[in-house]
Amino acid sequence: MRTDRTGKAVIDLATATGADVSAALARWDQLEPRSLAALGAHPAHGPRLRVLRAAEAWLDEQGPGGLPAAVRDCPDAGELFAHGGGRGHAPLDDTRRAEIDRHLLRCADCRRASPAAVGRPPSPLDRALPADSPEPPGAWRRELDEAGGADSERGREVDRAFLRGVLATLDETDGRARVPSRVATPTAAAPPRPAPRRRRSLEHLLPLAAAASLVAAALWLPKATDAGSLLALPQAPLLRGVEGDGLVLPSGPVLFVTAPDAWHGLTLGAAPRFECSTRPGATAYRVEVFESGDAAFDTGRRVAHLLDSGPLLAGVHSLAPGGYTWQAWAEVDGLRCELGERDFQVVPDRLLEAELEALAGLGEPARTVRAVRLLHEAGFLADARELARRLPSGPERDAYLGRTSAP
Amino acid sequence: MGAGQPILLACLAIAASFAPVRGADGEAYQADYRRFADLLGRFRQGEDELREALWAAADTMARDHGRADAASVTAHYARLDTAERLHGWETYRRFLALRARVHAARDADDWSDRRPGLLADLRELAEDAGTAPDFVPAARALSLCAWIEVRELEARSDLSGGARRELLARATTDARTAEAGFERAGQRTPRLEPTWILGRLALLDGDLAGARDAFERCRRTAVDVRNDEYRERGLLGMVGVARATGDTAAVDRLLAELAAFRSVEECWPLAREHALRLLHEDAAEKAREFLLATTPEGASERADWSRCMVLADLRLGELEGARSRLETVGSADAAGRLARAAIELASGTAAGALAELDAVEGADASERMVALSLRGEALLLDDRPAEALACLREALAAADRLEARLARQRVLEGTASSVFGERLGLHTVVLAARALARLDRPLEGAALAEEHQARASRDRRAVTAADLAALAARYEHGLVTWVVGADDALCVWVGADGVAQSQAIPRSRRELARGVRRLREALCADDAGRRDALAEQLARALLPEGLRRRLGTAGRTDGRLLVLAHGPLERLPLEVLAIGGRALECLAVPLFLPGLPADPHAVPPTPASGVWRLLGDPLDAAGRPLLPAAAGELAAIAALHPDALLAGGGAFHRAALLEALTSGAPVHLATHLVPSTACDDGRLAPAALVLDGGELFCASDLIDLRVPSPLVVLSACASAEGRFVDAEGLLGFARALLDGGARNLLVTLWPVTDDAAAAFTPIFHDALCAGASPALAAREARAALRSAGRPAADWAAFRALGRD
Repeated sequence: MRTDRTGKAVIDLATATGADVSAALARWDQLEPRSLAALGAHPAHGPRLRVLRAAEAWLDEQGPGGLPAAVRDCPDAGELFAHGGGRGHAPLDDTRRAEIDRHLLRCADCRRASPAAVGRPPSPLDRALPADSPEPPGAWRRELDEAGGADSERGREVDRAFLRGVLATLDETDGRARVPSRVATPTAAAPPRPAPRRRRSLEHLLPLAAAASLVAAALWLPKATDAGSLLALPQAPLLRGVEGDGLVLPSGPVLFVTAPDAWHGLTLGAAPRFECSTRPGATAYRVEVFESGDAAFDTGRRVAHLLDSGPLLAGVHSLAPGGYTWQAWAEVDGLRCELGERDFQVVPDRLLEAELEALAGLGEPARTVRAVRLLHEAGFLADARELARRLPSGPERDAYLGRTSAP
Repeated sequence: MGAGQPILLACLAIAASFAPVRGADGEAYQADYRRFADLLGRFRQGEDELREALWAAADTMARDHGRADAASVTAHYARLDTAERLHGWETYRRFLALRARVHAARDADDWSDRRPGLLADLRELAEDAGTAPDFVPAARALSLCAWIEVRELEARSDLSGGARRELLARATTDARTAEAGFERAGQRTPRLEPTWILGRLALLDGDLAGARDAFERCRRTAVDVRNDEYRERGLLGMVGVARATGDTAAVDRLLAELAAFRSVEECWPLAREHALRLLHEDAAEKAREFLLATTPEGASERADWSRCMVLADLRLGELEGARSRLETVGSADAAGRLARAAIELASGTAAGALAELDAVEGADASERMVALSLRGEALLLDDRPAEALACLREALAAADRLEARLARQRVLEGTASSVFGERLGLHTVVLAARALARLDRPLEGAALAEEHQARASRDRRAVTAADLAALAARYEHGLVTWVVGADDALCVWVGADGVAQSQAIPRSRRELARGVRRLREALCADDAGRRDALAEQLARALLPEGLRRRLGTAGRTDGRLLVLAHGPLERLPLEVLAIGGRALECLAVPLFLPGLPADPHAVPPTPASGVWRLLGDPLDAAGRPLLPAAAGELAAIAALHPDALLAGGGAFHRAALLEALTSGAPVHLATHLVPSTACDDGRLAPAALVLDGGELFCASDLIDLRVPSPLVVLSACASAEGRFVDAEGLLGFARALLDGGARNLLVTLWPVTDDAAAAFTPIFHDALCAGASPALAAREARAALRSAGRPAADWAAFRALGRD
């Protein structure tokens, strides 16, 4: 074969010998485009060329160094960020979350990159408080600041002393705090966290002393200590699979608050928001709410029709106690996709209300966290989840919102 | 017309045949393809100096836009000398003129007179050009011939059998020859037309497999060459095939693909098919809302739309609206008469319905099946059950023949198709079973119901009343089965003595599914009050009175009842249905099967023989257990079966699992069961078991696998679940294992915690060791967890499937 001025091989099929053709096929990637096209269009040589190209493509797909499928299937950065509950992340639907969970089992690179793939320290060590949190978590933090911050030698001593105390308290309390999450995420080094900033302390609530960090923590906990750490949100039990449904919450009981004004502005009560699983490509979500009562088969009278561009829909005000059914649809490329239906019951619970009202003296986020725990443990998952949304973004809060769902 | 204009028009024609119609990726693509088309046209017309530029443009198309066919098209013309190209170009212009004449004449009143002449001219052109070096115009002419011929076949129902066959053969030859010609010339876009025509011809020939292949080829090529027009046609063709085979999952998938590049407002066929799907899924109100939001413009589309609205009105019970709307579209054809008959039936007027059905003419095969079903329903309404039964049996026989034909064509393989569930509808089966019940032959009704459900698992083997009676005789309380249609259902209990009792259930499929869902939710929420109330209501609604009485008064509580749960009832936690305040499973031992097994008369082997295979406890890449309780679970079970072979942790891999499942031994699996799109084979649920290191074992990996195990325990989430196909049931791991030969399974109805599974299964195995059957062992384990104060979500999830 000859070469053209660019050095590419040229073959003239009209005059080429069998040996020429074989050589051209063997070096097809060095052929100039017209020769390559002519070879490909040839009724006899074309199929042979296609096989060679397919084999080459297959080899290319193996990636550099023959990397396994796990690495080639890595999620993009956005998905990884969303999966790890990074701040401001976009919602990730359950199926894709489960796929990424499994991928992380195989791909160390992605695990290192994922915000979730960290060993979460006990909550008091989550020192990266959000800017809008009005109150510091306690005197121990001021002490830490006075000690020169967490990164100083003395700061680390205070930190460790407090940690020992809090861990001791945690050990005595709710064992569910130790239940592992749905899919065991391997622990890796925590990413560097910003140094704690100086904040206003809760002097009027907590006695302060360097050596009394344990006391500070003990006093800081609510009197009813059976629920464990203030910042420890309930964790979902580990399942042997995943929840699979188009609807999240509400399901089951929703609290009917008899004295909403007494709740000091916290959103509660029979005005639930309807949360659907995110449907890829959906541009609109519709929810219809029916008053179904105790019926076994009927939906009952429609009482609300909601429409929103996102999977979290609001607009129902103060449903009366009773049984309800909600149905949800997503619109994807103009097609109506049924997401499913679920029942919920609006129920009054004065005792629970009283417990919630008793939290009034606490500051935030302790009050909300405590309320979330109370509601969650009483089975009012929708209300608990609604309150949890108001907490500052963080790994625990995001994990709770990511994993809490009714069966 | 100036000299340049024909050339320009021809170039535009080339461009139109080559270029994508819509959805092109931006201005760069448009600019590049226009340039290529322009250069090609001019090169073909003798401008030899453009050869290099043309190659460069072809390289750009291939390199930058993935259009490698640009190079092969160029190669074809580059091989020709100038004279050959010019000759080809002239022939191509003749073809364009002929094509213009065809398109101008096709909607004219004298089309049938002009058609033969046009066909003759096209054939003459094909004859002339077929042996020329540039034979592409010949391929175009033949493609257009095929187009004309297929239109005639579709329009003419009056053709004799011989004439029809001859025309079909000629059209097929023309299309195939055209397709081959374009292929030889390296041209992909022009191939779309004959490929699509071949799909239509295959449909006309009743060859659904061939049609599906052709439409899929058309779709794939259209995607490659970015031609949305033919992509739409290919997809709609495939939708038609999927609908004909009752593969609703495929219909949904294809419509979703079509909707990704066509809006429902601009593509009426898309909107229509979606509306029909909504109607099919008993969402008539949604269908109507959707139709009102997507009203088409054209007259024929508007008429089509009106017919869909009639169906929606009918399903919503708005009969007057349906009637008046039907009048506006005209109802003299078969479809119109059938719609009027359905309205009359819904109004309770059997005579009116029968009169309409008597007037039906020119019905196709599908319409005849519908007519028979409607007639049966009308006769039943008119209290003529024997005549009704004859019509309904004829409808079922027609569906049976259709299914057999589809099976011979192998078009059902690898699909979630169900002719009886999704094409004919179980409503007809319900009617037939009701007719038999009215004739005091409920046992035959039960056999008929069983025969038309879960057929694939039985290789469509017939079921007789004797089969059912013999099976019922093996269980102390006999067997109970249901058939659930769109509007109502029927339950038949066959006692151990062979005496059957039926009960009509005037609840729609959707309502029954709702009842099942509510009970499941109440269990999972551990809401005992709600659970008990629903359990009583559902028992009264779903179980025949005779069965309830028998269970409520039987002295023994270990009598077995075989439950053949179908439709939405396959998900029903029937064990907790309450009779007189007591759960059913406290009154009897229910055994569950999704349908009659392939060998109902097979004698059960000795209980759970063979050395147990215990597998599970998968680890992650770092060697940590994914399920902390699974290791303990397996250890506890191993202690009960000292000879058991354990493959946990790093030993829990595919080879070990396959060996265990095919060994003939009982198998226990403790792992995750997760959804996975990579496991979607089109039939079974896209789900997988998680093995060590995150490796997945799909449900589809069980296809064609022989699993001769006496018992398989799937200690994982929702292992009873699957892709729901009406009349076939839940197609997933459990079904695949049963179809593979496993006699009994322990599965879960919903997601279970690691902890709950680890608590349940050792108790289950302990009971097995004590001699209990799998069903009895499951009952004992449920009772134990219940007594231990576990929430209902933990113990009620587990179910024994099987017959031992």
